Amino acid sequence: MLKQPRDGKQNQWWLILLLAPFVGVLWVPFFNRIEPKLWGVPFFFWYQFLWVGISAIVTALVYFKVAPRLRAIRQESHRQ
Amino acid sequence: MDSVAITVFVALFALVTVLGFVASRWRRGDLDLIDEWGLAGRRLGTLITWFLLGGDLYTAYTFVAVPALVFGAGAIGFFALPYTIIVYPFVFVVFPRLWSVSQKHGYITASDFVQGRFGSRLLALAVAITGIFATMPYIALQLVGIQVVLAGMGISGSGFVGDLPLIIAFVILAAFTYTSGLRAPAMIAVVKDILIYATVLTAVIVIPIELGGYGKIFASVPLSKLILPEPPAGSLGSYSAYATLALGSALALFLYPHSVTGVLSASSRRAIMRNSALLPAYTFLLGLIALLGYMAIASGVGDMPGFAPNFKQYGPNFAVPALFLASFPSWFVGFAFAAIAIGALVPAAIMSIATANLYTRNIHRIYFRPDCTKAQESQVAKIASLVVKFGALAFILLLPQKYAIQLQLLGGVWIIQTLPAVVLGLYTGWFHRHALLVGWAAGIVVGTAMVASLGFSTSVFPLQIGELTVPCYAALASLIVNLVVTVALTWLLNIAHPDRGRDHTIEADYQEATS
Repeated sequence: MLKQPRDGKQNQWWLILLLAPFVGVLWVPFFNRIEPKLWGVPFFFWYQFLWVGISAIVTALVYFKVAPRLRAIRQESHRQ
Repeated sequence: MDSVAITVFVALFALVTVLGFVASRWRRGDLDLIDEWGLAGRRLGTLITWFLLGGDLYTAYTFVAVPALVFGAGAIGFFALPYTIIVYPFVFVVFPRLWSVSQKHGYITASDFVQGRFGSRLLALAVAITGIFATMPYIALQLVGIQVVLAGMGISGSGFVGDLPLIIAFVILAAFTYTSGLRAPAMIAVVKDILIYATVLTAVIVIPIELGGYGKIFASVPLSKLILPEPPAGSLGSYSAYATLALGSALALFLYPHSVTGVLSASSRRAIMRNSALLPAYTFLLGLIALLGYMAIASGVGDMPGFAPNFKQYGPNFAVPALFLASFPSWFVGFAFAAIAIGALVPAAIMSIATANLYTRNIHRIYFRPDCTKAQESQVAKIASLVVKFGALAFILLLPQKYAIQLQLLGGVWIIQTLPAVVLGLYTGWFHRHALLVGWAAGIVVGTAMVASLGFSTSVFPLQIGELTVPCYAALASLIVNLVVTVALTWLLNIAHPDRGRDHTIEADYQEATS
């Protein structure tokens, strides 16, 4: 019984991962460049496209890490 | 006029018209209740929410204006990509809370929530009016999307006859929104998205083959448009403009009434969380669409004499239609243009429903008919949705297009001022209702003044911080003013005048429903 709330707290830390996309795409001087190109596409574009994928994967990961906690709460309330 | 393209276009348009009316029977509910008409009974699962929000947020105007900005102004137009990347982690954390508290208390609009949280009718009214004013020009701009594709097929002209196709499209839209409510755009969104994905994926494969590959396309773009210009000494230049546009737009997007309607119609908070991971698929699509702007530069459509009259009338907004006309056979032009036009119907329908909900719940019910029945409430919302749509239509037909664009620009600056009450309000009831109202007003005045000082032509305001010039999206700058005023005044009022509004919510309301 004592273990569950503590797990919940730990799971909350996963939310910090959601800050990564903000850092990745808002620091403009880092990616405002042409080289290195990828298949003729300047860095500026493929870098930002890459973050679309990273951001979606990070969000999905956080969902799977946070969601079991929600399920646990729900099950517990059913038991009550 | 291109009869093949027009035939395909009309056929697809007819298909969604039928769907729009059939939708009233889909997952049947009592459409005399505003929950059913205006939120589709809060029963949309993850997949339909994905289609609905995708169709709602990535509008036809976006699909025309983003590549137009890339075509005309260059890399700055790409801010749409970071904007629609960072919005989802934000939504993931914040908006399940709005869903839960709204489910618990039966809130239909953000203004309903503010009323419940802060117990202030005036603050709720401010939030409702901001939502309505920010959305109206947005609806009007959806018509611009339809106008440019009609012009692309050679259907344009002056006077009533020239406007007739647009009027017909809008009458159809108004009729099925009236009868089916949110179910209509939810169903049409599925067709719209299939058309849009098919069009864009075809475009980004076929057009580069015709133009000799992506390397060649980027090589033909002048350096000044390919990446952001290096900021001059003493200024953060386009760098801060790009980042603040992305951040400010992301913070504002889900405050718009049509986004809130999309969020609240989901069947669970998990549907919203899952969609935060799934909606970036549309962001990827939007990035590809932005690239069409460069393809339009590389293809040289801007200098083709056949397109000159339309470029003269519609400016860079004609870039994508011109590119499609130059690259595709007629039947596919009809298909692609139908995708854009139907792409305008979905958000226009949701926006008009959302503003109608706001008017009905937070103005009519409170100030004119406090004793109205549920059936009357739903009826008022249906009529309000008609008024909103025809208002938008009159706006676009009678006034120059630039007013709609300028007002939409201001709309972003206005709607973000509801962030302290709506978003921060989801976390704390600490703010004083009067402080929130004064902060809101300060933000609106400062933000509007910033945009006005730039002649309403741009929303990037050059802030002076000491020696440094920081070009900043006016919405973000004025939001900071709003926050400072709100916090300082809350602190003062809590000491001097601590009569707080009644908070009808408790922390548990914001978390996962336990029943």
